[in-house]
Amino acid sequence: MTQQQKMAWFTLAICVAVLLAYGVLLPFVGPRAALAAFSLMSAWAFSGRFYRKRPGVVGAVVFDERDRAIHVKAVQVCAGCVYLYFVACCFTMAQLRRAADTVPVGWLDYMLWFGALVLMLSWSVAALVQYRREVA
Amino acid sequence: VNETLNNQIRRLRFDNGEMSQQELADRVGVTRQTIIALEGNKYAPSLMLAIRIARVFDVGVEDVFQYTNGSKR
Repeated sequence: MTQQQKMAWFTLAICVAVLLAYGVLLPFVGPRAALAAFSLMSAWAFSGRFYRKRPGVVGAVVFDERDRAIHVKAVQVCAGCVYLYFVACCFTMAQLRRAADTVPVGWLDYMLWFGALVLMLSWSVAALVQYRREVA
Repeated sequence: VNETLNNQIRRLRFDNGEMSQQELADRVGVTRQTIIALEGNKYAPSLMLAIRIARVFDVGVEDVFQYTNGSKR
């Protein structure tokens, strides 16, 4: 398993953990306070460790042209998903709030947090699917 | 057109003192997983990587990689 593949699994695990935590918190504290589950995303800050070279190993390659090709395609998929998500959010807000002609500021929190989740989830799934197919 | 890029990397490794995948990967600057994908014909390398691999075995690029397409002549 390459380092990028490990990072993709790690990212996917964080996304699943966030969704689970949100789902568990939701009935107890309500949708707004349940957004605290998204603080688990901070674990992603440790993902840089996957690309650190092991001490004592000289010249070990942790990222090569195949990883780069997979990353580029995964980012393309990810950008498409985020764009679709953004368009879906805009349409949904327009549909739900057409009469009021305004959008509550609180909705933007949900939009941003779930948008970040879509970004991470789509990148990790796209990368893992490509590694499984082993086509780049 | 059904294009495929076959290669002789596995055979060349064994012809060169049973070189390990890790050793070849280190010498051409990629991960061992990329060598595995190459040997399984599941990854088409860049021109630079193809040349580096050919140089490790001291042969021409076309001795390592063979391009075929499925169209009948």
